[in-house]
Amino acid sequence: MLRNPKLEEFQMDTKPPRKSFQHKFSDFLHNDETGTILGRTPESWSKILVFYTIFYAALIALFAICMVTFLQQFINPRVPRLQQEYSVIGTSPGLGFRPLPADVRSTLIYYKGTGYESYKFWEDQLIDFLSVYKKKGQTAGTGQNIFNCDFRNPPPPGKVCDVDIRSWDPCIEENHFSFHKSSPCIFLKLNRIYGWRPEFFDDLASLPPDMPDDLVSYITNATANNRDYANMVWVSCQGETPADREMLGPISYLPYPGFPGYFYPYENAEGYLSPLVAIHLQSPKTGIILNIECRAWAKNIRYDRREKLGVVHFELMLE
Amino acid sequence: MTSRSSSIASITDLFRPEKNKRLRSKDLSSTRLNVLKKEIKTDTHLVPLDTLFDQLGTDPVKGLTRYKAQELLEYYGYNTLTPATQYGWTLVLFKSMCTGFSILIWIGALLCLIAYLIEMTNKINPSYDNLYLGCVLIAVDVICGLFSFYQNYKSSKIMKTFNSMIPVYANCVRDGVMDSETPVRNLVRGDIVEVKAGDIVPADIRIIESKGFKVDNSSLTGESIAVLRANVEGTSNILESPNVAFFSTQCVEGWALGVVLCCGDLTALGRVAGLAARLKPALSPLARELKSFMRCMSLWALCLGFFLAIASLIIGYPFMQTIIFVIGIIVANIPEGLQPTVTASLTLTAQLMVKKQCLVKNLDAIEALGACTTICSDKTGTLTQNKMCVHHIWMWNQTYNVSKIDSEKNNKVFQSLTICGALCSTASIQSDGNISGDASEKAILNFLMEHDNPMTIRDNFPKVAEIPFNSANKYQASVCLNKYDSKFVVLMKGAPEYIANRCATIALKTGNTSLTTEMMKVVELATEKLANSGERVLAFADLTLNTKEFPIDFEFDIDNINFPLDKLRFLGLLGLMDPPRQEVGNAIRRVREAGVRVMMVTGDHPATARAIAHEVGIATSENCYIITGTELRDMSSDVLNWTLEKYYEIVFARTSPTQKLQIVEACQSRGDVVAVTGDGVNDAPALRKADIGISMGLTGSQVSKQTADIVLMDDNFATIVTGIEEGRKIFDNLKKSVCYILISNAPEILPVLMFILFSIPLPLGVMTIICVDLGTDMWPAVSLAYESAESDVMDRVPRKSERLVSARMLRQAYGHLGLMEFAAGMYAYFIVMAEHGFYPAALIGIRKKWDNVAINDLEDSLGQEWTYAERKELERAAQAAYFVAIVVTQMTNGIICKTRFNSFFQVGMKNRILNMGLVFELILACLLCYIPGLSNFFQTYPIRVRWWFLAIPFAVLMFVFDEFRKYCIRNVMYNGWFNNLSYY
Repeated sequence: MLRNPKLEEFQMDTKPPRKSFQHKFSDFLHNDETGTILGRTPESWSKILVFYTIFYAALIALFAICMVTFLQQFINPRVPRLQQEYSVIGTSPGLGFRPLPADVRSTLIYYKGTGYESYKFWEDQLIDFLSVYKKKGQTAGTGQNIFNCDFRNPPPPGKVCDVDIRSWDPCIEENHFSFHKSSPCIFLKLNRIYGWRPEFFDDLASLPPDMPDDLVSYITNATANNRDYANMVWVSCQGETPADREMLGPISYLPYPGFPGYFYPYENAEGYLSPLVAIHLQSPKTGIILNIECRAWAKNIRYDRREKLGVVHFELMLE
Repeated sequence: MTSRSSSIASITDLFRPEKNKRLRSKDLSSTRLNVLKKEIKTDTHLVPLDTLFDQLGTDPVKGLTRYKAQELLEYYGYNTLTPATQYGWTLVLFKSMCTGFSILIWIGALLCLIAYLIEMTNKINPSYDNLYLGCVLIAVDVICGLFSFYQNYKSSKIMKTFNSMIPVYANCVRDGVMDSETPVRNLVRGDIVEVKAGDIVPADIRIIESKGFKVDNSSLTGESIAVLRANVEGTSNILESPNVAFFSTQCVEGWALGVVLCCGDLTALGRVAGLAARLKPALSPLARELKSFMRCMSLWALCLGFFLAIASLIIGYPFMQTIIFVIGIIVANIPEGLQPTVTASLTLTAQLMVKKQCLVKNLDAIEALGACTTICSDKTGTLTQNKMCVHHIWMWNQTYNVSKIDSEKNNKVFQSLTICGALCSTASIQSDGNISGDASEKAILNFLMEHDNPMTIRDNFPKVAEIPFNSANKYQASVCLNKYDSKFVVLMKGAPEYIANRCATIALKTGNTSLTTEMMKVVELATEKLANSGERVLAFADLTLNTKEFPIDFEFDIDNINFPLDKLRFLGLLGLMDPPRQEVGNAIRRVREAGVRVMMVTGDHPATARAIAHEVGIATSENCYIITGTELRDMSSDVLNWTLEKYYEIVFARTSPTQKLQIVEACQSRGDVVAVTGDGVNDAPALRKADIGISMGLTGSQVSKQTADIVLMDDNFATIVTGIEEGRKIFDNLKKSVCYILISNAPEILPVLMFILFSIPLPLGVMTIICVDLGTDMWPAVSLAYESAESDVMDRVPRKSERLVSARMLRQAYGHLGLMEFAAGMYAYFIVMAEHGFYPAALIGIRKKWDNVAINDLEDSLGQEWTYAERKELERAAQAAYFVAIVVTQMTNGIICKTRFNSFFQVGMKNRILNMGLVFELILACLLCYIPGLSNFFQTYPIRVRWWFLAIPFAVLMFVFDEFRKYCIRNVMYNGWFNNLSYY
C-alpha cells in the first residue's frame, strides 16, 4: 500500500514556504484570499454576534426575571427580610462617631492650633453630617412626621421623634463645635438596627460593675427625679489608659449621657433621626495623642472591644 | 585507515574517566550521546591479526606487560559502564516545585505574606487572613510539587541493570602468565583473554584461536541463537563479523582465546547502555499539551493581574487592596486542580491496566498509547514466541502443515522421518520433563513428542556413534542399532543441499526410488520455498547398513570414519520457525483498523522477517518494503523520511540497536507518536527514545523492562490494543475533566472584575476559590475518567491535531457554562445581600466605605447601620452563598460533562464513582459551611438552607442549553454551527 501516491520516486516531500510573523499577522488581520478579518469572514462574525446576543440576552433575562421576582415577592423596600438575630447584623448595635478622618482606616482626629483653616475639615464634616437634623423643619416631606416625643409619649407608628440641635450648645455650628477653643465636640451615635429595642437598666441596683462612677452617679441623680429617665441607653467616654484619662480632662455629655429610649425601636419610618450625644472635651491636653473609648450601656448591648461591639474608639490630637 | 583509527582514538579520549578540561560536564554528556548515536566504525576486526597486535602493542602468547596494562588502565579507566550525569534529587524536587502553575502560586503566596507583613507593621491587631492564605497557597504548592516529584523522580536504574550483566572475573594473560582471577574491571585494550563455555565474554574480543566457540548474542541482538565465532575473515559490519565476540554475551559451547578490542563504554553493549541511559525521552503528547496550556494560562493570568494592578494603582486603589485582588486574579485564573486531576485520572487507568496484566510505569504513556500513530515492533519474543517449532514437513513432493500431519500417521516415510528425527536430535528430556538443548533440536523433539514417543524410539535404537555438527561439514550424523532387526542405521540431519548431495535414493510412499537430477531440483525448489517463508530448513536422510559388512560387534570410529556417509536415502525436510504468538495477528489487524501503522524492526534475517510480517499481518501485500540494516546505513535521513512517507508497510531487518533508535527518531521527526515494543537489550535505546516504550514482562530482559514505560506482564501483544483503547478513552474523558475544571474558572475570575469595575464588596474570596478548585471540584473531575466511551474509539484514526484544550472547549467553558455559573453566583450573592438590607443598587460603589475599618456605621438600603465586623460577616455569608451556587451548578456540570456528544438521557447516571463524587461535593460543601472551625478558616459561613436553592434556575438553564447544544451537534443542525462553535 502506498502512503502518498502523489509522491514520485526521488521526489522529496516539499513543505509549504514558511511565512514571516508579520505576514501571518497581517493575514490574521485581513486575509485577501479567504476574505477573513481576524480569522473569520464577516458573515461568520455576524453569525457569532447574533448567537451571542441571543444567548446572553437569554441569560440576562433569566437573571433579571429571578432578581425582579425575588425583589418584588420577598423583599419589602422598607422592612428588612432578615431582622436582628436572624440577620448577620445581630441584636447588639455598634457605636459610631463624627467627624470621621479623611484617611481610610484611621480614627485619629487631629488638628493644629486654633486657626480656622486647621479645623475647617472637621467642622465641614460635622456641618454636613448634622445638616439632616437642621433641615428637617424646612423640608415638607420629612418634617411632617415629627412628633414631640417624651418618655411617656413614645411616637405612634409612622412618626419620628425630634432631635433638638439647640440642646447640644455649645456644640453647635455657630460655635464652630468649639473646635476653635481646642475643646472639640465629638458626636456619638448608636447604630440603627431595625426593630431593635434596648433593654434598659431599670433597676439601679443591677447596674454593671464596670460602669464608670460618674455615669452611675448621674443615673442615680437623674432617676431620683423621674423614674422614666432610666429608659435610656447610657453612654460613657473615657481615656483608655489611666494616663489618657488624666490628660483628657473633664467631659460633658450634651444634652445627656445617653440616648433616650423613645427613639427605639427604629422601624425605618420616614424622616427618622438617630439620637445623638455630643461629647464636649472641655480641656484635653495638647501635643499628645489621646486614646478615647466610648461605650454604650444597655442590658442587650454586648461589649466586645475587638469586634467593636457596643464601643467606639478614636484618637484625638491637638497641637 | 589512519583516519578511522584516529577517530577511534578521539572517541576513546572522550570516554576517559578524567574530566575533559575543555568541556563542561553537560556538553561532554551531549557530545558523548552524539558519538554513541553513530554506527560503530572500526577496522580492528578486519586488519590482519599481526597488524592488530602491533597497533595494540600486545603479544598473542604473552599478552600485555603488567606495567603497560596498568598504564592503559590509568589512562582509559576501568572496563565498566559509566553512568550518565544525573540530577540530584534536590534539583528534581526544586524543578517539580517550580513547574506549571507552581510559580504563579508561589507569587500569590509571596504577595499574601507581603500583605500580612505590611499589615503587621501598620496595625496592632492584624488579621491573620493573609497569613493563613499564604500558608494555604504554600501548602498547595508543596503538595502539588511533591506529587509531581514522586512522578519525576524515578532514579535511572538502567545502568545498574546493565552492570549486573558484566562478569566479575576473567582469564587474562599478562606477562605470559594466565591469571584466572583478573577482575573484569581491570581489563584494558590489548589484553589476551580466554573464554570457556558458560563464561560471559568480559569485553569485545577478536578471536585468535577457538574450538567450537559458540556465543549467545541475545543480550545484544535479541535473537537467542547460538552463533559460531572463530578466527576467520571479518565482515565490514562489526556486529555481524564472525570473528568478534561481544561484551556481556554468553559462551554456550567451546572455548576461545581472544584479544580485547575495546572496553567499557566503547563496547557494543557499552554503547547501547550509554544510549539508553543518556537519551532523554521526548515529552509525551499529553505533557506537551499541558505544558503549552499551562504556559498560556500563566501568561494570561500574569498579564491580567499586572494590567489590573497598574490600572487600579492609577485609579487610586491603595496598595494593599491591589495586592489582594492581584492574588485573587492569579488564584482564580489558575485551574489548580488540573494537574492532580490529570495525574489521578491516569493513575486510575493505569490501575485498570494492571488488572489486564499491563504494568504502566510512566503514567503519561497510557495516554500517549492512545495517540500513537506508529508502532515499531521487534520480532523475536514480541511478535513471536521466541521458541522454535516445526512448521512444515516436506515429504516427496508434498508440503504438510504441522497441524495437518496427523493424516499421514501411517505413512512409512513419515515414520522413518520420526525415527530419524528422534535419533538425530541432540536435545534431551530432563527428569523434570523440561527439554534441554539447542533451540532447533528442542523444536524437533517437541514436534515428535506430539506424534510419537521419541524416548521409546531412542530406547529401541541405541546410539553407537555420533558425529556432532560443525560448521565445516554442516551435518550431524549418528549411527544406531535397530533392535528389531539388529541392523545398524546411519541417520543424518543437516542443511538440505549437503544432505541431498549425499543421497542416492529417496523415500516415497510407494517405496524407494533413485534420486534423479530432476528430483534433486524438486527438492531444491521445496527447500527454497520453505526458506523464503522464513523457515530454517533441515533435511533428514538415513541408510540401513547391511549386516555382512557391519556385524553387530562392529566398532564405529568417528575420527577416521569407517562407515558410509553417502548413498543415503533422502527422507524429507522439516521447516522450523519461531511461530508468531497466537493473538498477534488479530491484535495487529485491530491496531491497523484503528489507524495505527505497524512496522517491524528486527535484528533477524529479511526472509524470516518478511515471513512473520506476512503471517501476522504487518505486511498484507507483496509491496511490503524490506529495508536491511546495511541499506539503512547508506540512507540519508531525507531518503529515510521519503521511504517512510512512500511505503506504508515497512519491515526493517538486520538492524543494530542504534539503527532502531534512528528509525524511531525519523518517525518522530515526521510528527509521529511512536510506540516501540521490544524485549532485548538491543531495543533499550529505542524503547527509551520512543514516546511509548513497551516491554515484555516474561521474556523481556531486565534492561528493557527497566527502560520501558509499559510492561506487558503476560507478554500478550493484544494488551496493546486494550492500551490504545484505554488511552483514547482517557483522552476523551480528560477533555471532559478539563472542561469541567475550566468551567468553574469563569465564576472565579469575574467576581474580582465586578469588585474592581462596580466597586461592590468582593463576591468570592480567594480561600473559597481554593476550596472549589482543590476541594469540591476534585472528585467529580477525576470521576469523569470512569465514563465509558461515547463511541467506538477504535474506529477513529489517531489524533494528531486534536487538542486537549481547544478554542471550542474554552468557548464552551468560559463563554457559555461559566457565565451561567457566574450569573447563578451573582444572583445568590445579591439575594443574600438584599435579604440583609443591602439592595443591589446600594451595593454598587459601596466598596470603599465597605472595606474601611474605621467606618463603624455603614448604612444599608433600610437605614440600618453596620459595623465593620458585621459587614465582613455579611460579606462572608454572601461569598458562601456564591460558593454554594458554584457547587450546585458544578454538580449540574458534572452531569453535563458526562457526555460531549450523546444526550444525558442516553447515557444515564451509570457512573457510580461520579454519582458518589457529586454527593461528596455536596457533603464537602456542607462541611466547609457548617463546621465552625472550617468555616472560619476557609472564610465561609453557615448559610440558610434556602440559599442553596438560589442557583437552581441557572442550573436548569445550563442543563437545557447543553442538551439542546448536544442535540444540535448530533444532528449537525444549523450547518454544524454548534459543532464548530463548541464541540470540543
